[in-house]
Amino acid sequence: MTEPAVAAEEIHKTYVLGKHRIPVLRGAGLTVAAGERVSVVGASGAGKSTLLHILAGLDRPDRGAVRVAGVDVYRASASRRSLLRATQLGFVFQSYHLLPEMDVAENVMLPGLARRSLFASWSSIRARAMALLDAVGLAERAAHRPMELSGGEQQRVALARALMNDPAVILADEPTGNLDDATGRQVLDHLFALTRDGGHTLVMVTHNRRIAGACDRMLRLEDGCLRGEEGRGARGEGRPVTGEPVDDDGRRVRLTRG
Amino acid sequence: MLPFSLFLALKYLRPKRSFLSVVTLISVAGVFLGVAILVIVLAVMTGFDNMWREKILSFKPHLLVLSRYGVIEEEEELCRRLESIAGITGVAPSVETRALMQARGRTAAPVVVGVDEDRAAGVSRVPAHMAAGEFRLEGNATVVGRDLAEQMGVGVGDPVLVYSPLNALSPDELYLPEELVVAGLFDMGMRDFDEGFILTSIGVARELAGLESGAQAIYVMTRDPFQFESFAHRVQAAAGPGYAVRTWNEVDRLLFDALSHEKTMMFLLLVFITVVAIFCVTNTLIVITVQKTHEIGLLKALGFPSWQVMAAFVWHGWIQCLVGTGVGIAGGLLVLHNLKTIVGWLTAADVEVFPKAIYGLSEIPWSTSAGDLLRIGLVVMVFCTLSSLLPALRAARLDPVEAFREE
Repeated sequence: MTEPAVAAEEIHKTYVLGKHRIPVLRGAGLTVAAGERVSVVGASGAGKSTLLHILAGLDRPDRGAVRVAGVDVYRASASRRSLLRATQLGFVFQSYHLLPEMDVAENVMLPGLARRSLFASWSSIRARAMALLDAVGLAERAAHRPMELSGGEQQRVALARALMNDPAVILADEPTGNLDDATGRQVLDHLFALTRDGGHTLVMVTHNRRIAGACDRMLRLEDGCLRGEEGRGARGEGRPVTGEPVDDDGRRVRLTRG
Repeated sequence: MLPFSLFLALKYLRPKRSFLSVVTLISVAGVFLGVAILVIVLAVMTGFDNMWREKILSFKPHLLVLSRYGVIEEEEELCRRLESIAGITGVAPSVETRALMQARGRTAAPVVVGVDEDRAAGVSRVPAHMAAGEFRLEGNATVVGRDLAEQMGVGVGDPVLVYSPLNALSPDELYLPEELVVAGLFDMGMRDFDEGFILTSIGVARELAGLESGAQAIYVMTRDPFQFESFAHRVQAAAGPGYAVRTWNEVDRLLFDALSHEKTMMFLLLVFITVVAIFCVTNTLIVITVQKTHEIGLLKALGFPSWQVMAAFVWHGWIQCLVGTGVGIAGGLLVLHNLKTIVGWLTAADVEVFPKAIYGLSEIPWSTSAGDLLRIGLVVMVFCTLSSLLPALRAARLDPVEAFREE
């Protein structure tokens, strides 16, 4: 059995704000197979972004373990985690987060520059960035600054950036949250097409169940735990999903695909 | 290939809408002013230092040979031994004494320096600084400083009476004054010499000092006065244990020590002022790290290690300081090369910055070297590096999740 692309187990995270303790994740766990597209839905404040940050190695959980592309994220050193984020993870944020001082091409090149080895030239990294911009239909805007692009165009640039290093896993946090329906659909089309064509694993957080349903599998984050549902995505067609309770009160379920 | 941290720093130096950030310009201007002031003040202090050395060396001998037992009796034989040393350009026996000078009803108390008239030109630069008359010491001829001559109201050809100080020491004896004739006036460009010394033959000086024969000291001039340590050893070896050799900087040690300490103190004070200017850079960087919080978080989320983020801000500070230092050095040198003109403007505006009556000089001396400029640059860049580290460390320690949360 091949190792899953992403595996999280018994994730606990509590925020402490002064005297208040706010438990966000209480034993959440998920397993995502390589090439699978999984969405995570939940109410606002349920902890979806927190979960995504934990999967990306950005926010250490109070308890639990995360493995991405075979690496135990929180047993690794800080430098190893940085390398993991540069090489195995791509991130698409709700607010695009493009650097305003750089043009579109330079923004897409950023992950390539983060992992740049002694042998990678600036021109080869730029060539890869241009190819990705072409794939999202923005090659002619390469020299523009982010502020000169619309929201949808900026998100497509962010998508190209996420794919720069051909990562194993794409993490998308509300990728269409700031976009209108039409533009959001356009962005999602690019996201799904590119991740499918490249064989990337996708974990997407969204509050929109319709968008979430387009993935292979949909997980619902409630009361700090994840519960599974089948999605309409191509990979999920006709494949039943079963859940095996892990704890005594049945609040936590380990999902397996039949 | 450009390191990413430098690439990012250059991007941050250029804001989105204009070519240069006003905040950056102000930071650079602060460093520029501090460095320019450092360059100017140190150059002027070095100039004064060099000027003192030149003036002293132009009048006083490089080495003095003194007897440990009083008067040098075999001065001619000693002179011949010293003249045979390689690199020695002039040797002359001398007698010095303070005397009372009287002319036209006025009095003064200069130092009378008597040297062998045949050897005088080899041990004195006074002949090259004659303002009037000629350098002649034979018989009762004397050469007087121009400022002293003005004070006494005498000119070339006028007689002066010079009284021996032994009159004060020997109440039972009377030493008649020497009547000397002013053969020439010298102008060394330094009030202490032009007002305080007259030169005569060694015979006249002996009479005033109460010596029958011999000399009090042997003046020695060398090819290179700054190699005085080496020459002093050789002269000492040739003279023998009965003599002591003193170098020109030992004779005026207090003056040169004072100049050296002043220069060091001024350098330290000005460095502190420059450090204050460099804190403008720290301020700018702190503001930028606050403004760029979410960008720093993004870079870390994309996989850039903390040290690269930190390096970008250190580069940012360095570039500002490097530009400020470069422009400051250039500006300082520009002011120095036009110092006379600037002082002239200030004088025309009734701001007397360098009165000749006090300093005895017609223009502000200055001197700088590549070594001085390099030292200034290095000190400033060290402080710049330290001042950049604090905001850079803040950026490096930023938690990406906190950064996203703030944004």
